Amino acid sequence: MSDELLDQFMIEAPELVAQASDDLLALEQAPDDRARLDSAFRAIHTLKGSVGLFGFDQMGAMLHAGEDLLGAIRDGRLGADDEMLGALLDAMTRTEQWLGDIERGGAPLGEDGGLGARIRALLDAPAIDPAVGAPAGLDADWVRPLLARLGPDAAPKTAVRYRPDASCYFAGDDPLQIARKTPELLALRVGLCSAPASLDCYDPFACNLEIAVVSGAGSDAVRAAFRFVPDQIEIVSVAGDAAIGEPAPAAAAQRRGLRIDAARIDDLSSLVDDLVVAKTALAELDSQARAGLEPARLVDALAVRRAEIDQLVERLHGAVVGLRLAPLTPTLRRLPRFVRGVAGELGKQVELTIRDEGAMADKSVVEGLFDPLIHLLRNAIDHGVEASDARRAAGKPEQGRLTLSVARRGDLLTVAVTDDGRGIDPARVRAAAQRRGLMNAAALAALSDAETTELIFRPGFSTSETVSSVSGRGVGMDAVRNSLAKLGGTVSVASSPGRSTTVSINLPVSVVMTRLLVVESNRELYGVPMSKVIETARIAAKDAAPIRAGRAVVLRDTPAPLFDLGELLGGAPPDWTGADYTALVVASPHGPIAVRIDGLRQSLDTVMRPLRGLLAGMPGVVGSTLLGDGRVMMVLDPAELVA
Amino acid sequence: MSVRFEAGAIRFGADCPVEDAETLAGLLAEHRSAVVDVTACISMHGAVLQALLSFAPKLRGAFADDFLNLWVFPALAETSRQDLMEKL
Repeated sequence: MSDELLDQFMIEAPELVAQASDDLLALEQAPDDRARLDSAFRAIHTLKGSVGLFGFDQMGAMLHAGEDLLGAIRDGRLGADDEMLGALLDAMTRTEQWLGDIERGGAPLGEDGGLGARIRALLDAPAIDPAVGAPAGLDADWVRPLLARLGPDAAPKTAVRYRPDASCYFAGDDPLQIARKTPELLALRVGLCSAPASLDCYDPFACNLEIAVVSGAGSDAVRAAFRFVPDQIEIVSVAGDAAIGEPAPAAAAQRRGLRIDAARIDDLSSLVDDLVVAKTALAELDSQARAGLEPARLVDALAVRRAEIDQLVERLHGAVVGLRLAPLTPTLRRLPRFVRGVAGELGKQVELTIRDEGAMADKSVVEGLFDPLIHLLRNAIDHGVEASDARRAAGKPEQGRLTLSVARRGDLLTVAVTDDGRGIDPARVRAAAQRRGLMNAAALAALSDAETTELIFRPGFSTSETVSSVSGRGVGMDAVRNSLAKLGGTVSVASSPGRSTTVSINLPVSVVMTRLLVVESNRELYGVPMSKVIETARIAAKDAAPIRAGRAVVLRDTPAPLFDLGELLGGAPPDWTGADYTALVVASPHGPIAVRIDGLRQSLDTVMRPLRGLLAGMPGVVGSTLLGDGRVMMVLDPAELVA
Repeated sequence: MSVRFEAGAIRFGADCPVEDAETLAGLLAEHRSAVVDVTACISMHGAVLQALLSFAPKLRGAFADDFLNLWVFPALAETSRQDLMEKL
């Protein structure tokens, strides 16, 4: 199976899921909205068609059921009710999970949890067999005559019957050409679907062809050849008598495509054109220099060219960073469905309003924002919004109100999640912090209410007295803070007890140039963001006093723990016998710490990339960057290594 | 336009695109007994093939393309034979 096709699918499918979810949620409010109904039907229909290409049978069968149900509602055979829309929304959630499975590089895992059957039951129609999704193999009467034509050595695997739509010629399809592209074609039969009634009024442009092919290729490859007409083919596996299990397409880990506005590509290519011109100018300068241009004039000319190229490179960088900017809307569109689900589970009524002003941010920021938002919304519904009776008693409307607003302010993306729930009671926070030993009573008493509220971001903090299945126990706000910190963001909370809570997030819009200090430890180079470094220091060995298992040093009259970077990274304990050490002094939540390194190299302005995959969770590693020679250098936060 | 009527026969050009379907259908309707010469034809649109299958004219020569000869020609031969049988 072509990776490109799957890539394309992975771009489109989430958008289709989001579209269908939007429409279904809107239909819950206004069941008669014809436009929404049509739109949901189209989205699920398209999704089902694409899913069929890849042989994700469970998903295909479930979506097929969904399509049929929406079709029945559209035709007026059934009236949409909450149960139907709920089942369809659940199907979208399941589809999203499956898409996640595919993105992580596998086939969609697991069953549909009875969703397909649930939808079919609503439709009151028998379920189709998900394993086949099409007529059963050799029983299909059109297959045998085709197979009969094959030579004895042929190894047929897949057969397709292609009945093009009558209007396909107008759509630009050439069925013969499409069938001709069948990989490993073993047999082809073409004929008319139905004998023309009368040749006197023959319509040359109403398609009446039927084509059947047998291929030696697997069903994925054959499906790919017919990918533009998925709804016009029947496909069956014909290897032996047993249906063959096609191996799932092996997907690379973390595939994610990006939709880019064509105008931005045009800008980019015009920049490249300018670069080519600048290069030509350099070549000219080269020949002038060889022809004996005076050194002084050569230097001047070089400076001019260089300035030109510098400027172009800067613009090119800007344009490429711009390419990675993606709108937040698709991510945010997934949230109402999530909120609806969580609220339903907790028996609360909640309405989510989203204001996003079409904000854009770097793709990694957009992707990284989703989980924290999920977390915040879940917390707001579980802990913020009160149950209906409590809200009534407090004189609030029964339906809780959540607001998510996203705005871009210069290079910062500001996100605020507000709920009109019970707010955060500083007294309860103090009590919980004390109970969990986060701080002693005296220190707590010294904190203002606002500072106290911020304690909810401390690791291990949770005030929830009951453990709910939704928020779990102490799935803390510290997780939110950590994942946002990885994106270079900060989070804060403000609350007015009894009335509302607002969690505010500030994030850089794009991956920015970061100034790094390059240090050496155990013959490896590491980067440390300059912003984390207070100073570099020479420490005489005699000043590094052993204290218990570690060492401490006095820096500007303040004692600070001394660590060795190599050891923090899991290397062998270092030799502390040398004359003196080079150390970075960095800020940590507990005051400055000194980290011994083997040497300082240089400072570097570079684009730092957030880590992905397995490395993303590694404490102390905040990103990576490319060195001039192409090597990858890890960027560390020493304070986090110590924590 | 690469399908044309010449000396009592309908001749296919090298490439017969979708528009040729209409021309061909018109010619076949007008000259029911005309022979269709496909010797120059390398590719034809499905709509053109459909006109051939529908009117089932007698073909002259073979296509100048292996795919068409291997998979399409037999279908056309079959149709014109059936047609012939019916006429008999």
